[in-house]
Amino acid sequence: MRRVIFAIVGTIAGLAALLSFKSHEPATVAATSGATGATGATGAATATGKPPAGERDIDGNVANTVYGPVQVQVVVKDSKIVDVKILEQPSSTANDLQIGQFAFPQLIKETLAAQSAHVDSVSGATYTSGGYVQSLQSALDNGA
Amino acid sequence: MSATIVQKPGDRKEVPAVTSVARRPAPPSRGRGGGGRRGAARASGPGAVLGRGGTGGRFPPVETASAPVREVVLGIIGLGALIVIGLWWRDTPSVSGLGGWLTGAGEILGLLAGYGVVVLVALMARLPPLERGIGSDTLARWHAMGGRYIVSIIVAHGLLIIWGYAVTAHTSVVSESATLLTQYPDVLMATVAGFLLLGVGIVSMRAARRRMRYETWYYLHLYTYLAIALAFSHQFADGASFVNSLAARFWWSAMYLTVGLLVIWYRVAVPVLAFYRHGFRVLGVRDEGPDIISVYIGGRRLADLGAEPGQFFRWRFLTRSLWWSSHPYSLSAAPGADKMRITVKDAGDHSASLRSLRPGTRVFAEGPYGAFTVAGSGRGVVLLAGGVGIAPLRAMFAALPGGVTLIYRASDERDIVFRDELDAIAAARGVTVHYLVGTRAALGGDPLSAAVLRELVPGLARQDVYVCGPAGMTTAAVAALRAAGVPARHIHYESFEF
Repeated sequence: MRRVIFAIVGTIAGLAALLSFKSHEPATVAATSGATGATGATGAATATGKPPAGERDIDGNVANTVYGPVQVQVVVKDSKIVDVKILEQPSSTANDLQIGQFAFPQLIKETLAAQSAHVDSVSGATYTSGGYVQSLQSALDNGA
Repeated sequence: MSATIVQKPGDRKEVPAVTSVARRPAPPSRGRGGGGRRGAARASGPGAVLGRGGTGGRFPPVETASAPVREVVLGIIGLGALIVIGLWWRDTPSVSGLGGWLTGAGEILGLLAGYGVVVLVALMARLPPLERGIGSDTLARWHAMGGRYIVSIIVAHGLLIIWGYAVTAHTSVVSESATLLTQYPDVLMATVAGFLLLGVGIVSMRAARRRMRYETWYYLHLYTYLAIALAFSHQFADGASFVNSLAARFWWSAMYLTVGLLVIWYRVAVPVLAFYRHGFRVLGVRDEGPDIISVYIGGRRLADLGAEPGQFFRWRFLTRSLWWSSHPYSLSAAPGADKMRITVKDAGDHSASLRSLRPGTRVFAEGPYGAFTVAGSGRGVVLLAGGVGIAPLRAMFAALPGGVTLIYRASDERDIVFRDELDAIAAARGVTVHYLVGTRAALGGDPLSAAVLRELVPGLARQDVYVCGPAGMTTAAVAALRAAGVPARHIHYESFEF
């Protein structure tokens, strides 16, 4: 019995220790954004063809996150952001995809409301949010 | 002391020889995966398990070889676990929020479980250095203990991942479970595997195992191989530590493959090769006592097996009713060039049906296994047998060089087997056998006490002592020996129970 208790307590303590060492908030969105230009600006800002009249599609740069690249496309009409499309997202595991599925709609909704890249990151998807903001900002900069 | 019957036989002249086959039940099953044959309580049965573990502490059976081997092996296992944790460390940028913590814990446990099952299989792969250096009974104990732990970890892994993902994705545990099962690659298979392992764990629990036939338990255990195979792919498909690292996938696969090949080689190929090379056959069966029989097994070039007194084989007698199960029985005599002997007490269906074995029956023998052998320390040797535990000690008694004292404890005169043989050996070699016969009540106390032992064996504290018998007797004997001043590292024991 003592051994069982030891095993359980030991395992939990070990896990807690390991996790707490890794437990720091990821770099903030702003900081990520600033660092981007240097690290992830591989994508080119290009206006892609045949948007509906008055609309412009502007690709953001690819923002590399630890889970994979994020790239967005902003649809602008009359200087207003009317839509954001996700061109690329972390997808190496099913969990990455699942996180994208709930995070991006929220981010897009906030973006449309804020009309800028100043959106809060979604909890549980901090890195992905960071990549999104970064790519979005670059698109807005490119389109300006 | 007065109650004990101490006898110094010296009156027999014939010497049946050192190679004569000894008889006595072999103790048995040492190991098999965790348990002995059906219930532990069957101390005297051939079916009992020789677990060195009883209660008394753990003393390596072969002091010179075993301690280092044990530590080295445990060290390697621990190092492996650290490397596995390192894998998670490397691929985890950070942990944040409740979801992150839960998921992180789930990932670590998943990785450890994936590693742990391989270790558990490797412990049971009949690797000669482990069998010889650590002993099948200790390996089985590690396997059983580790198995309980790993099954718990697997369950926790599943629950933590579900919970963690649900928290992160802001969804309910139920819908997250559905998502995991249906949308994550291979998670469904892995879930089936998890339940299989949980089932095997449950039937291996003592209470459940006692209620089922050993063979049933054994064959159910084979589902672990299926479970491991089913669970493999989800590790690469969903494990963040693997999806992006070819090197991690390569080494992880190499680990699984290596252990798989070792299992096939040592558990299948080697025994099959030995079967054809040595051509084991039953020579005959002999009654040794009320419910004790010896089985003589012949074969070619048996010396090449390198079996030592104290070791055992797993025997599979190829008759219509016995071929499908193998049972461990110790050699009860040093193996000759073309003959081996095991001695079995009727305690279960299997041992009972051994009585009807016909000469010529082919035998599949796996072994030799076991670390319960004499290390040759140069010190004097005391052999302490309890009931059926005489089998391996009988083999040692005949073969040991130098001074040796045999103490044979039985609660009833009729339980003493090999008396003539033992006396003859003692007479021929000028060594001593002490029979301690009678129930404790009749003797007015346990004859295996420090005082009695000290009196029986002058200079006991400076000798190596080998104990083999039912668990209760072993525990008591080890305690008495310690009290008599024998250092723990000089006490080597195997017990019938797991």
